[in-house]
Amino acid sequence: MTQTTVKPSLALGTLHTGRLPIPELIALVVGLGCFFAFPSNLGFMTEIVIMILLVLSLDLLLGYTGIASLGQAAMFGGGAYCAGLFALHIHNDPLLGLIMAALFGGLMAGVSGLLFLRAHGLSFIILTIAFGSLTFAVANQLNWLTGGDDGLYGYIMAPLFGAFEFDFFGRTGFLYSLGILLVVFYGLRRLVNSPFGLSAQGIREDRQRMTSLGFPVYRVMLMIYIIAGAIAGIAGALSAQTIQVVGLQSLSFTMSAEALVMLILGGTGRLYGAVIGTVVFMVVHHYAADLDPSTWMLVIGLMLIAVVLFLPKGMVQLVDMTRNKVSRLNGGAGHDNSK
Amino acid sequence: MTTLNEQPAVTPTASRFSVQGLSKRFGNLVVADDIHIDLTPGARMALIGPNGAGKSTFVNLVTGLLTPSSGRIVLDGEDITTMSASRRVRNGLVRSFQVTRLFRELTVADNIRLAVLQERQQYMRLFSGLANTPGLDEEVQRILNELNIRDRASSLVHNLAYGEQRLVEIALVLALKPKVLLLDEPAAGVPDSESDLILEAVGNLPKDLAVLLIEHDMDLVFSFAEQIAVLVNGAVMATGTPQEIAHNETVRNIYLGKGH
Ligand SMILES: Nc1ncnc2c1ncn2[C@@H]1O[C@H](COP(=O)(O)OP(=O)(O)O)[C@@H](O)[C@H]1O
Ligand SMILES: [Mg+2]
Repeated sequence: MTQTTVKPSLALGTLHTGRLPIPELIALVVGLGCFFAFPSNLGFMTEIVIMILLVLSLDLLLGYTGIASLGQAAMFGGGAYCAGLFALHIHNDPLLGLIMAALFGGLMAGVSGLLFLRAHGLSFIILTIAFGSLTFAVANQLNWLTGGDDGLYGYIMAPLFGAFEFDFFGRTGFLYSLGILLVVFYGLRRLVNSPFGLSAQGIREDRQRMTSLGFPVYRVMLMIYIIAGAIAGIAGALSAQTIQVVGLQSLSFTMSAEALVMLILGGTGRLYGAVIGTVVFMVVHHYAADLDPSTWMLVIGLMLIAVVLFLPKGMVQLVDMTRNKVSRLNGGAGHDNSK
Repeated sequence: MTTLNEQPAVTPTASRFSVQGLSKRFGNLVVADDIHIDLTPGARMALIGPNGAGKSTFVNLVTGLLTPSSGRIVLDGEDITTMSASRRVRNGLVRSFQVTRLFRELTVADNIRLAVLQERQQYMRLFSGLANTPGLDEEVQRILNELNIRDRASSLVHNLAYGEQRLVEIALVLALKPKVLLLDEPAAGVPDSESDLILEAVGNLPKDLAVLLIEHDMDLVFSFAEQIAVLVNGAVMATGTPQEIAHNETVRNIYLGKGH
């Protein structure tokens, strides 16, 4: 009864772990390694980091809460335009712009979610697609504000912390994006392992049962939707600030759909699944597209089929399998996710 | 129906939960027909009736998963007829499901943890670890021990035997600290070898809790209930003590006689 030993949570059988920023430290080392190893690819690597953020926001929705969306680009593009316009007309400090974009992404999600989250399943997906096309059309119409087809440009970001110029090689841009990714990743990891995160997973497993447990399910889902919107907004802002131009494609259906493909590829409901899926997709896209523009679609298509058929939990399943094998070789220490 | 001002002596606390003239029709099919049921604190009532009589529908109606066509539902003196389903639960009206509904991909402990988080209103803690949530694990422990499923805490629910899953179902509703508990066939689908576990859990429910038990197993019903209501075609055909019901000719013919 009085089990006041060290780790009551593990003793009590939860799958949740971890306060220490170990995954973030590993990601930092890998990120910095890439920074020094591929100095001429910093632009591409920044794109990957930004895309990881967008896919993470989708993982929070789909993987942790069971809300499937095909309109996450609305908040991504919204954040991008917000950050671009903020830099152009109000203030060009990057962190200030980032905060504005997060708020704007959250606001877009809040307003749309208030309406859409009453719908379930397929109806909800359709609504998110509709919202995506709507924002695209609006941005296109508001030519005078957004630059329409030509894109939004002409702003120059102030140095980060007033000290680090956004240089031509994209060094600052990459390290800035990487830093934001690590902060968001840590926050998300805390979130999904919190009481709130467990409630999200309860909603994913059985929404109606959560209602019968007395949870205000709609309100919890709305909060998750807003948080995911804010993260997508942050990703959009990073894109606007590092490339210093915002195009309509940031709001496109393709963007939403590709983010979903990356998530499925890597594995839903695991934060690092989003990371793996995005990296694999982007790298394949990058190199296969060099060969022949149609090849990459073929490669991605085949990969997606293989994953869905043979690794239904995504590529993270490969990591799990290897890890289990290693721990068995080490004398079955079991897996040790927390340390 | 008598008017309210003729009965000033009836204080709200005399009845914990009362259903007044509840009706529901699906098209032409009447599944609840002017049902009246009254539970005092600590009541032990059983609701019996043949399959398709409308017992589960009754539970769905009073818990807000279905909207009644007419009638009133009162909990602790408050009319909850139009209250949202989740608020009814927060106000103390809790049900279990005839077909187990659990979070199958989560551990037993996490299933119970969810119920406890709601009951303690701690689920809005966004960034603190589960292990650092004050009182949470102690409460989960207590419930695991109470139902004797301590050693299954780390198992995923879908790896449990069905009887054990039914215990987790009971653990969830108990974790919500209800005032009124509606148990929809807690022993349904449980093999005889495991049904004693359910019997014991039902027997150990808190004394001041008002319980409405829906059950087919007559041993369980007669060992548990102080009052029995018989539902046939959506209508309450008879109510009374187990003695009275057992000797009621019509009930025997319609229900008890038919090999249940
Ligand atoms: N959503 C529904 N639509 C139409 N008929 C329903 C619905 N739900 C239940 N019924 C019918 O209501 C009757 C009562 O069902 P139920 O409450 O499950 O009975 P019991 O729990 O007593 O076995 C059955 O005839 C069933 O077919
Ligand atoms: Mg039933």
